[in-house]
Amino acid sequence: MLNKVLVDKFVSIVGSLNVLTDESDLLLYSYDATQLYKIPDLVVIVNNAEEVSKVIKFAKANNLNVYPRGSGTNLSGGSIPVDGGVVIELNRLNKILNIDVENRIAVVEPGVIAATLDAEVSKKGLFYPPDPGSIAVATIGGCVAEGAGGLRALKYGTTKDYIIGLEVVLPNGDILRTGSFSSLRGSPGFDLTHLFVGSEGTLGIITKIAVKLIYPAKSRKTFLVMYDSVGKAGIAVAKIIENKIIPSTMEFLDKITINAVEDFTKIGLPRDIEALLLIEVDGEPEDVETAAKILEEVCLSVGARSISIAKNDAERMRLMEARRAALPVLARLKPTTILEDATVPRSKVADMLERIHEIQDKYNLMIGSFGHAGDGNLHPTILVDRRNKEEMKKVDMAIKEIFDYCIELGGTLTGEHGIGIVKAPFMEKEFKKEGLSLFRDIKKTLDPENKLNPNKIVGAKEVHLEYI
Amino acid sequence: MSTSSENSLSLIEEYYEEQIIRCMKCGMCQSICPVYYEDSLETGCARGKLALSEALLHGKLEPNHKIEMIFNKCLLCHACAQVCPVGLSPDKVFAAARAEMVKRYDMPWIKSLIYRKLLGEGKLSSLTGTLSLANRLKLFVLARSLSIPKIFGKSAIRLSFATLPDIPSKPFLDRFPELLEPNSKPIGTVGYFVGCAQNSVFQDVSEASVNILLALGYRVIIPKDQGCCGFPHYGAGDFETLKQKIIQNSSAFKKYKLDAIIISCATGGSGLKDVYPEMTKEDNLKTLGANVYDISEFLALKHLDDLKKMMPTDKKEKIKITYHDACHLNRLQGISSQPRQLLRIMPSYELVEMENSTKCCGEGGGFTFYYQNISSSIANRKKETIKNTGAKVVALGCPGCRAQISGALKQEGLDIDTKHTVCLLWDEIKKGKDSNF
Repeated sequence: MLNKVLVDKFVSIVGSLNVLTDESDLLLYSYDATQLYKIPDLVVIVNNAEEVSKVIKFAKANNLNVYPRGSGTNLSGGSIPVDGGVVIELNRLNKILNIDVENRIAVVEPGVIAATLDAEVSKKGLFYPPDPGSIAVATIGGCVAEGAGGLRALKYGTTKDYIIGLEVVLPNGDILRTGSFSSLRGSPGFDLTHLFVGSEGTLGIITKIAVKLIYPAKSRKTFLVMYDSVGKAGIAVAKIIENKIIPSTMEFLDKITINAVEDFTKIGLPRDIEALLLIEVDGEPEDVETAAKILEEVCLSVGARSISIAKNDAERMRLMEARRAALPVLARLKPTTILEDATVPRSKVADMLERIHEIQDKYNLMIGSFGHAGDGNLHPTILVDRRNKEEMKKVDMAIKEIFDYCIELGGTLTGEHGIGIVKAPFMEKEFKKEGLSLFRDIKKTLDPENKLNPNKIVGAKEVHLEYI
Repeated sequence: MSTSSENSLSLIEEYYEEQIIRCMKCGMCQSICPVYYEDSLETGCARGKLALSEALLHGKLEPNHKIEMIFNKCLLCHACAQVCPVGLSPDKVFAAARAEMVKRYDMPWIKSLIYRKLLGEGKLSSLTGTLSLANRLKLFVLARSLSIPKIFGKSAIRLSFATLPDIPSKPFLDRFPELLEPNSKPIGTVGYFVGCAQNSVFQDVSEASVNILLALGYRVIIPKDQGCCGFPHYGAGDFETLKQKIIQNSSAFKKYKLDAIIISCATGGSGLKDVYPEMTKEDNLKTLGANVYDISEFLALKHLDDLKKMMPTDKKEKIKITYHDACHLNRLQGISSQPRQLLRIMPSYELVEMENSTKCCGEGGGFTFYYQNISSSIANRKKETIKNTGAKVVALGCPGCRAQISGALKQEGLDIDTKHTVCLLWDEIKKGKDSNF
C-alpha cells in the first residue's frame, strides 16, 4: 500500500474512480492466465496516452515499478506485477480510431478486443487474420505486446506480420511514434515498430496501433484426417507443404486429447487413432478445388486411416468441433490446467511429441497435446491438481525437460504466448550469452532504471510466484 | 430433504473447493459478462470474483463489506457459465458466497424487510397488499423523485418500480379457487405455481396461464399454501429462508397427485428446476411430487397443434413483435425456441428478432439495489436493440425482465408494450373464440 501523498498524485492525474487501492481490488489485478499472482501496490486505470505518460513520469520520479495490463489473459506471467508497484490498466483505451478501406489500414487503441477489430473490419469487406485462442477477450495491445499467433498463422502469419506503426510511451514518459499510420511503406532506419512488437511491455507502453488489413478468401474447404501414428501425421504435414499447398489451418490433436474430446462430445472419433489433423485450405474457388484434390491424395498416400471433407458450413462446424473442444475438454479432466507453448521445426513435431510422451510416463503426469502442426507450434497441456505440491514439483521438472529438448531440436521457447516471467529462466538456452546480453543492453538503453515491467523476458532476477 | 444448518455451509465449501480451484483464469467470462461490459473492471467478471473467493478460502483476505459488495456485483445471469471452457457455474459460487456474507453480517434492514417479511412470509398476500398500497399512493414515483435512495445508503429504488402497472388489491391466490375444472372431461391434472410477482403485480400472467390450461382441458390445482419460490433468497444469500420455502412448497404440492407442475415465471422455474435439486440433492419428482415445466415449454411441447386450432383466422395487418430471452429461461432452463414457436402460431403478430436477444436486461434482483447505474445502463442497451426492431410489443417470460424493460421503455416515453408470451396467446385464443361464434 502506497502512502496517501503518492496515491493523491495519481488521483490528480486520472481521477479518484480510476485509482484502486483497496486490498480486494489489488488482488484482482495481481494475476493473469498462468494463474500465478503477485499483489501490486496500486492500480491506475488510464484513458489516454497523456495519462500514461504522466503516470510513468510520476512513478519513475518516485522509484515505482510500472506494469501495463490489458485483459490479463496472457499465459506467460507478462502482466503480473512481480516486483511490486503500479499496474496501469489500459482496457478503457478501446476506440477503433479509423478503418481506411482504400489503403487497407486500421488505427486502433490498445484496449480494443481482438475479436471486435476482426468483426468491425469484416463489416467493411476486410480481414485481420491473427486469431489467438483468446481472441474474444484479448486486447489488441496485448496481442501486439505478446506477438500473438493463432490457427491461421501458417498461411497468414502472426500479429507481428500486420503491425505497421505504433504510438508508444517510453519508460521516460516520452510519447514516440514509429513506422507509418497511413502507408504500408515503413519508415527508414532501424525498424523501431518491430522492436516493440513482442516486447511484452518491457520497452514501452503501446497506446496506438496501426495494422494492415487484407481481403478475406472467397472460398475454403475443411478436412479432418485420422492417422494410426504420429509419425505418419508428421510426414503428411511436411508432404502437403512440399506439394506447394499452404493450408490456412493445419491443426493437430494427440491421442489423449482425441479421447478426451470423444469422452465429452461423443462426436464419433475413433479411440484408437494416434493423431488427428484438421486442415483448411482457402483462396479463389478454383485454387481451393485443386489444392483440396492434391491434399486428399497426399494424405492418403501417407496412409491416412480416414478423411472427412466438409460439404457445407454446418459440416465444417462439426469438423472444427474436435479442435475447438480440445482445450475445454482437457481442462475438465483435472482441477488445474497448465497450457504450455513449444515450437519445433515442422519436421520435428513427431519427435517432440514422442519425447513429451516419454516425459509424461517418467513423471507420471497427464499431458494432452494439440496445436498448430503446420508451424510446429505445440501446446502440451499438463493436467494436474495444484494443491498437490509433489505433483507440481514434477511439473516444473517436466516443463524444463520439454524445453531442453525443444531447443535441442532447433525449436523456440514460445510460438505465441511470450516469454514473460515463466520462461525468462530458459532465455539463455535459446539465445546464448551474446543474445541475452544484447536483449539486456536494449532494455537498459530504453529503461536504464529497470522500472517498466521489470524481470520479464530478460529475467534480471529470479522471481518465485505462487497460486492464490 | 436435510434441513440441518450445516447444509448450506457444506454446499459452499464444496463449491469453494471444486469450482473455485478449477478456474484457469483465462478470462473468457469477460467476453460475455454484461456487468464487465459496462465498466471493464475485474470486479465485474466471474474470474475476479472467483479469485476473491479463492483468496478468502485460503485466508489471504478477510471478509469485509467491500468484498460483500463485489459478490453482489453479479446479475446471476449465468452467461459466464455458457462460455467457461472449464464448465464452471460461477453464479452458483457467488450465491453461496453471498450466503456466507449474510451468515457473517446478517442483512441490512431494508433487505431483511423485503426478503424475510414480504417475500418470506407463508402466504404471499402481505406482498400484494404492500405493493398495491405503495403503488396507489405513488410512493415509488415519489421515492424516485425525492432521491430516497440516499436514505437507503447505496441501495436505490428500482427503475422498474416507478412504472409498475396498477396492482390489484387482492392477490391472485385469493381471487382464484384452489381447484378449477375444465368444461370437458379433464385430460390431466396440473399444479400451478403462481410465484410472488404473478400473485401480486402481474396477475394477468397467472390468469392467462390458468385459462389456457383450462381451455386445453386440464384440471388445474393452485395450492393455497404455496409460497415464494425462494430464488430471491438464494440470490440474496438468505439460504435459511430458501430452505423454509422449499419445505413449504414441497408440502403444498406433494399433497396432490399431479401430472405436471406449471410455472409461468422464469425465475421461479429456475428456482424449482435448478436451485431446489442443488439444495436438496433430489429431483423435482421427489421434492415436489411432479416434474416442473415452464408454461411456454409445456404448451409448445404438448399442445402446439391444439393451440393452432384455437387461433383466430382473420389475417389483418400483422403487428411486429420481438422476443427477449430471459436469462432464467434461456440459460438456466434452456428454453428459447418454445416461446418463439408459440409466437409464430399467433396470426396477429410477426416475430422480428432483436440483436443480442439473449443479453441480460440488467435486472438481477438485488443487483438493481446495489448497482443502479450499471443496471440502468444495461437496460438502456436492451431498449435500443428493441427500438431498432420497430416492434410494437416485446414478448418475454420473466416478471423481473418485464418490470425492468417496461421501465426503460416508458422512461423514454416509447409506445412499446411489454407482455408475457402467454398473455398474448390468451388474447389470441379469446379472439379465436369470438371469431368462431
